[in-house]
Amino acid sequence: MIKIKNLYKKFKDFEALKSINLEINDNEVVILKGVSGSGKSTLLSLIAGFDKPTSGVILIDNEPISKLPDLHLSRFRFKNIGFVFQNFNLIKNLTPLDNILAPLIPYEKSLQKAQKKALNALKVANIEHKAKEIVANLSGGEQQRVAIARAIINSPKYLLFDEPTANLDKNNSLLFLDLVKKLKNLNKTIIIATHDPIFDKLEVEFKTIKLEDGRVYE
Amino acid sequence: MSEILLNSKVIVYLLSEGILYTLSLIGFLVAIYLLKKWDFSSFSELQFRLEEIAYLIVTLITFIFLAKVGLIFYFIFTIDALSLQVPGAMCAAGVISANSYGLTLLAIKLFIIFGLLLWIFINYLDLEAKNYPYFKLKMALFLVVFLFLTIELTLDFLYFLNIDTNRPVSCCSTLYGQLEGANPLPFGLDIKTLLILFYSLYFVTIFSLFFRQYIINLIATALFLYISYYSVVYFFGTYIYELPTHKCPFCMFAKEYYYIGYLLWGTLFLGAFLMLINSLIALFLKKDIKLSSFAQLLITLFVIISTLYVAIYYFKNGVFL
Amino acid sequence: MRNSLYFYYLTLNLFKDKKKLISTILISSIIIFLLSSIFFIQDSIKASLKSTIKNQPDFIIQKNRGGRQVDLPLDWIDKISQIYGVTSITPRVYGRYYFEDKKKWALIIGVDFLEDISNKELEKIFKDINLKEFIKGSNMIVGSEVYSYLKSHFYNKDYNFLSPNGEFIKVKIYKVLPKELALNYGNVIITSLDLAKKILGVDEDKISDIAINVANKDEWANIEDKLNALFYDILVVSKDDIKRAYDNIFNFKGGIFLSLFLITLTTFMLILYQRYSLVNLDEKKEIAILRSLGWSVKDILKFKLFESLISAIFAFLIGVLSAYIFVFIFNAPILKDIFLGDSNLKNSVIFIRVVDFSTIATIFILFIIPFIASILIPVWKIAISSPKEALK
Ligand SMILES: Nc1ncnc2c1ncn2[C@@H]1O[C@H](COP(=O)(O)OP(=O)(O)O)[C@@H](O)[C@H]1O
Ligand SMILES: [Mg+2]
Repeated sequence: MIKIKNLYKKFKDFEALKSINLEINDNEVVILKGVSGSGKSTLLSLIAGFDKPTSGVILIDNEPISKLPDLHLSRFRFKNIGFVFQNFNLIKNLTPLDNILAPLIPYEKSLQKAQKKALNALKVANIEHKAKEIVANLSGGEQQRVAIARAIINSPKYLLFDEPTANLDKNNSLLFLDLVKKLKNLNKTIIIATHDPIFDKLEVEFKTIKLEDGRVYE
Repeated sequence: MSEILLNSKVIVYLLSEGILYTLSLIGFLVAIYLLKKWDFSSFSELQFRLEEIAYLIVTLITFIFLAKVGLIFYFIFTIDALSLQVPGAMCAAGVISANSYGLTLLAIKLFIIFGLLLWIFINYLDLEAKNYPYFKLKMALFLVVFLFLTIELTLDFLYFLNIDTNRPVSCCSTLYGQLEGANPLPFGLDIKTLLILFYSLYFVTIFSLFFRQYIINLIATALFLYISYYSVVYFFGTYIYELPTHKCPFCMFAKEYYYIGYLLWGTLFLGAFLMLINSLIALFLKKDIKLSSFAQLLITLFVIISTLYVAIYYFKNGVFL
Repeated sequence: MRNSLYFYYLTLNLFKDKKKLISTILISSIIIFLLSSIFFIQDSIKASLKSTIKNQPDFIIQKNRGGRQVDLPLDWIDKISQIYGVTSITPRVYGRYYFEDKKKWALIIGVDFLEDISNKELEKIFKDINLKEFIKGSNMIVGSEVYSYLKSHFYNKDYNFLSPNGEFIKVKIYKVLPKELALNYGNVIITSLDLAKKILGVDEDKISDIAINVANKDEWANIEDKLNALFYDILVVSKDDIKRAYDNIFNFKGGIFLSLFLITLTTFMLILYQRYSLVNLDEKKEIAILRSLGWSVKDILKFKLFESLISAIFAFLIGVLSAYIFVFIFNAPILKDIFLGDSNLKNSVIFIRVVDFSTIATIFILFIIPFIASILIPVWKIAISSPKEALK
């Protein structure tokens, strides 16, 4: 469970997030809605521990992640959080298989075990058939699925998506919605930051949280 | 200028020490800054930045430690090689006593390695905890080590600048040999009681850990280190050289004795240091860093190697020296 | 190793940016190559000198007048032989001979074959020579450099020496010394004692100096005193004096090279520091991505340092190996001239192969400590790239 209490984030004098209070339950799907610049990405990065809040508390499974030292935060992130970036952030000249091994390097010794895990993740993300091609040659939709596979390789509980359909055509967007359904059935807690209306078509139960100028309107 | 300073090994050694000191100086300045500004409870950008800066010190110290371990061997190696250039010296023993700085320098080197090793383990505990409980302690410890690094570098230069290649030095047999009637052993011990102390201290060192008697272990280990030094020089060494009059802690680093000195002194000092660190941390920080079995293994190895030299000699010749 | 995920990813990353890898390895290995070559040459020369010195007589007695060495009378030999403890005495005749153009010279050494040959290296040379025949005729043994000089002036079989009193002496080239001895004997002409006297214009009853051996080393100081008491205008040079003089010359030369090298090393450190500091956005972003995936700062530091260490070790191996080939197989062209620059005749020195562990250790330390020291801070700087960079 994610609990956010009285969260503020300032960039110099600009308040990007103001007094955020939120609770997200396990296995819930949350759509974080808001126009560009409303603070969605900022909120996601605070939840993932990429950045530190100016004040307030974020508890994930009762762990106050914004005050964890780097070593513990990293371990926590590795175990519990998968993040899919808007631009996917893959290493373009490697294969999907090699790309998604990356999170395991500090934690897993055996190459064989890691590769097995990786193939499994690729399968869940429906991109197994392209495992050994070069990422640069894949389409946007395919690259996104590789990024998803990398996010779920260590089966984290929480999955965060930043504008997942921004770089996809309609067809691929719909495929993504299917994938969300599949992931929810795998017991993930999912937070999607988006301003794409296509998510109204999502076939699973979800909660919408509206962000406007850094404030929440539920 | 001293001819010694033209020796390429000496130049390389001093250069390396200089570089490491420069790094530690950077570390020192950073440590002072961190100590001044550190406030873990703060949510300020600065505090998060400081936590990242702290990793610079970890990196620097880890490297300095590894390099210092390598360099202490290189130092011994170098002064051993210098024995060709310094008249009268047959091995490193003569060269290190060429002036009054040598032995102090060597002792400080060992102490620094101990301090850095202790630092590394405290840092490990500090990072494993979620709130940096030992941050100030480890920074303070580093400041102390830095003070010694400064003394060390000064002595490095004083030592090598003051080796006179025209003045003959004593060789190990005069330095460690018994003058008539004079007993070189501490507390008026004789060889027999020295050996009894050696083996009993070894057992106390090992067994005190089983019963978690850390104070006893600390004292026993320190004493063991001290007694071992004399036991090796005045007893076990003579079996390594197979000559009852050859008493020297340095000749055993030479090729003729298969470089056994590196292994022998290496296992003793590393084992004793780890043992001391383990007990110090258990006693004062109440944490188990699980070094005890490795330390016990090293010390046991040291005792076995020493004893084997005597046993094999007896087995081959049917008599003791 | 083959089933290690860490190692797999390390190599994957290493070869990802080939340009950076190759340029780092290249500059590092050039530095190591230079360094190793200097050390190898120095060690090799030292080893040759050491064996020469080992073959030197224990004492050389020379007569000095006004600070200049002059010939000494033959009858000194009898006086010296009465000193208790002297094991052997050899009269020696030698001197420089300038060839026609007066630019080149060779060292002529006259050897008294009837006496014991005090020099053990010469002993080896004469082993397979018919001494009687050699002494009877007008014969000489020449060093390899002398030989190539003679040949270039079309003296293939013999040479006409011009003695100080104006007569020509025709001497046959009996044998040429092997090139391996060139460092010490390249510039040497060996003849019988009498022939050497004639060529150099030394009087019948004079010699250049006397070499003596004293078996008991404890007696050395004592004998030196006695010799000085016996003759007043005498210079006694002991083997230890020569050895120390040689050592100092070579430490000095090596020292100069090393200080030159230190300048290069500083440049190298600066280049490395620059190279590692010059982080492009891609690299920074890559680290940010890794951190967003669960790598800690510590993990990144470890990984980056490992990566650098591998290229450093590669460079080290390449550098040392190519220096070995350069010095011992190609005989170090260019560098050799710098090292033996003031040699008289055209160099034909061959470096004998000596590589000991201490030299390799010295090279390693001299390279690896500056290497790591200069990349440590830049690597740390990249390692703390914030994961939020990945969002951009
Ligand atoms: N690192 C930063 N420095 C300064 N301003 C920032 C930074 N990151 C985001 N902002 C500002 O915060 C606001 C929210 O940004 P963001 O969270 O990216 O919005 P969204 O993802 O909803 O489009 C924007 O006005 C943006 O300009
Ligand atoms: Mg955004």
